[in-house]
Amino acid sequence: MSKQLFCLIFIVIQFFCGLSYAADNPSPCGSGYVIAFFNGVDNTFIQARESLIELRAIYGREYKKDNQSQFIYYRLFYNPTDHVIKDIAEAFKQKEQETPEIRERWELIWEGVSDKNPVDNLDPVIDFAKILAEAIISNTNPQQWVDNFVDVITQLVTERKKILAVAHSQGNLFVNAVYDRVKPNLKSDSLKVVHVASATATKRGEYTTSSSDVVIGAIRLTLSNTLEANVDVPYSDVKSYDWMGHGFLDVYMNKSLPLYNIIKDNMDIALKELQDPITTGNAGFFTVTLTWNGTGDVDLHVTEPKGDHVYYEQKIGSAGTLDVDNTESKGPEHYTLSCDPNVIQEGDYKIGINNYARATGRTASILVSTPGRIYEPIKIGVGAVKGNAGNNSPIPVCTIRVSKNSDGTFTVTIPGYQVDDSGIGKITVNTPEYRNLLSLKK
Amino acid sequence: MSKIRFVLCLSVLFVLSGNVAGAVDLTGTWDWYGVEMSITQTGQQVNAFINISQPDIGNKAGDQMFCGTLNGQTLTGKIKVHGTPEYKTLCPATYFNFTDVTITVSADGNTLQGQLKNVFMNNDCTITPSENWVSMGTLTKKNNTPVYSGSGGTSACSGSSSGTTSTYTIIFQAGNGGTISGSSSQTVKQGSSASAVTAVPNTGYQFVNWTGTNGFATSTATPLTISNVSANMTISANFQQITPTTTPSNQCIQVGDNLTIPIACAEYKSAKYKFNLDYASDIYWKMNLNTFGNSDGGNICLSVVDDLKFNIDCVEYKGKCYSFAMNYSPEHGDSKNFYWKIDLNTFAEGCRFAIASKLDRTPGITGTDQNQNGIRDDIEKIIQTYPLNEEQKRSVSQFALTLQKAILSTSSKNEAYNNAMEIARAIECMASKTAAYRTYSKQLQAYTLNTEERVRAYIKFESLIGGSVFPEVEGQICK
Repeated sequence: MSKQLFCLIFIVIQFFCGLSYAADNPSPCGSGYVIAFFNGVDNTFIQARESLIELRAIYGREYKKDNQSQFIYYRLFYNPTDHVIKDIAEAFKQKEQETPEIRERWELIWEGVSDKNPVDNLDPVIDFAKILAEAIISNTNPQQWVDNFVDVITQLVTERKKILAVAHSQGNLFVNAVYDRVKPNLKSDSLKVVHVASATATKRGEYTTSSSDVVIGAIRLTLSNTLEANVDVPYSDVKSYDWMGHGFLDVYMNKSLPLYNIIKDNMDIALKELQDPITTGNAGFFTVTLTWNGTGDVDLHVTEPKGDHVYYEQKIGSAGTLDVDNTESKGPEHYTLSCDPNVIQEGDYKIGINNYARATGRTASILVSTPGRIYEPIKIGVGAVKGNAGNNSPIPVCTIRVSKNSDGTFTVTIPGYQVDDSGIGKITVNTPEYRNLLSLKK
Repeated sequence: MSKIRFVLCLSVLFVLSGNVAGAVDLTGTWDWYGVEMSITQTGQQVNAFINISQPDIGNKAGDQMFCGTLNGQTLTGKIKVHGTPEYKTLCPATYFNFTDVTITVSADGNTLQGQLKNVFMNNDCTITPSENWVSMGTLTKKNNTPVYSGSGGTSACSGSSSGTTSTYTIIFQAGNGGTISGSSSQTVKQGSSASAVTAVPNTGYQFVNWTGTNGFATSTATPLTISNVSANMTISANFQQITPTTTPSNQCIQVGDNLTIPIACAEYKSAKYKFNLDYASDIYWKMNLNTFGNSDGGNICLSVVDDLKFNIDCVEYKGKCYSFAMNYSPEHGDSKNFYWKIDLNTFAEGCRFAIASKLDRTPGITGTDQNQNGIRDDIEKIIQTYPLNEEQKRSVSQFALTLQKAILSTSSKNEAYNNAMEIARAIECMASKTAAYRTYSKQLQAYTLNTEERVRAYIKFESLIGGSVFPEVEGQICK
């Protein structure tokens, strides 16, 4: 008997990660547009969310083209600021020893991260611009984050969404990496990029960099191949908004400065040029997207609460549909749960995969997207080739649980879902009870 | 980043005991997914013992795993959990732990369904309790004859039926500014409680909190009782000097009609001085040498740099506040006196730094939150001063609450993601109530994250949400 039969591993279970779907947001089943913001490292999560809100203030919920209105969704592809704040904290610790006015006043470091110089009467408390520049130069994109972002963009395109990616500062490094991975697989022009204050040497769309951006200027001094500033703005015009001349909202999206109209024009043109993705997929109340890292045929299997086994031979279940099937390489395969409350079934949707042919050694990535959360993709080996024989015994991946709330809305959760340090989703509850949950057998 | 390793194995041992009015008797042999257990029940006391050895994780047949008290159909007690095998050497002192369990007995008494308060084991071997209950599955009764009857187990599973009971030493100590009342060194059996100790502040000091080692969670309770002891601990009472209550106006240097500026503390080359600056003429002030002397410091001491320049963050004159820099001006006046002049380039109206001395900088992340609403008291007071209506203040408070929660309870990526979405919800709420929402979020971010410890907690939160993709918030944005 294996160890696990005795040793029940209970990992802290966040059973209730999912949130209920409310009708005041765009339907999760719409196609339309996504404005995806890739923030820079001088934007904490708070400022990054505010950037998303301000982008929404510009474009609203609907975009009209050829007399047709389509939803606009907004997504934040988050690049965290922890490394920069750590560096600033270290600098502050040194500085506070020699400057009694700031001793123990750690609140000052935040004004430096996101605001104008907080101590007008003093020299800058810390050389924030230098720290930011160094952080942007030295930070390499964690590959796992790029992988996750690629999976999410792939899923959005598979669900017929046209994507405008707006990147600021270091977010441009991510957006370039993601674009280069996704673009070759697209059959139409459904992904566009607008760069703002780009710290990169190359571009994937139009870019805007201010001549008085102190941070990008510092980067350019170190990396001579950084994109040249292409909008001339006197420093005297920007310093009262942001003494570093670099902030996404305070400087670049500031309607009092000429930068705003240029960026807005770039975004307008990109939105106008975006083409519908060529796909058979749809958005759903929740969706599951399977991709894998090479050639071969891996199949997605879903057992719905009422027992329907949805896979390539039976694509239509009583609650959802396998609307994209791929038999050659990389995927995606895609399952969509209906958005019709009369069709959505309460209960457990059991997700599995089968290496049907030629995919031995590949790793599958399974991305679950719900109205309240985009889960980090779960990675799992595809196992040995099983062909048809594997149809009745796919490798379990996870269980997606749908429950109905008293107000008639639905909540989606993934029991046992965790994310490891590197950003990979895992199902970590390894109990007999949970194995039963995973079992795809009826 | 110290990411929590959260795996704890639940070695299955159920000791249930007791029933009410003899309605249910759990005594017998039970099956839990292939693991056999003996349960004995005496009155309401229930004990469970494992029937099978688990060498990988250190359990022997006969070890007690669970115990509790049965009331009606509900059993509450303690269950033994332990880390995966690598923790045996990594964290020998905290490898085994006891945690809360609640079990529901079916009407016929033949099925048990349990939930336990799981615990995280951190990389530094400390233990963090979970907020949520997790399922431990179902036990089904096989027969009424237990293999092991056991003998102990009534003191929160304090040992195995065949082994010896572990004991731990708890040391209480007082930091500067107070003493401990109660037993300062206690030997406590595993799973039992230490006797209560009280933190007693000296005159002029106040108790802040308890901090400790080996998984002790910071507490503000006094008297303090530590229950369910499972490790040696050293626990310190922290005190702080009580500073006189001040009003915003006297954070500022008060300047009377004669325009004298009293400097209570100015630091120059590591020495602190006090003196008055008397108004001379135009923009010049003269040091009053009769008032010059050493200073014993103050809440905020001005810094005098090598060229004798210093900055005054706030002076109040005729009900208005100003800030400016003072430049040393040896060229002015006579050689017997020292003159400074206002640097007009820096002169500004407003006491923007007066708030610094009002912020809570007590040790720990929580700060003082007397009404226990999750927002620090100083932050609440600041919000009350904002020129906003009640609805707007509620939205700003929602933001302060979610930010505080993010730095207080973010131990996994799941938790961080959920906390981040709640911050996002609060920002949406603020933005829907006031166009100036970014001003308030910036200020409250700075005031909330105003000590090194709080900044580092936020850094941890940020690191945990990196690489995630966030959608728009769902449901009601304002709470």
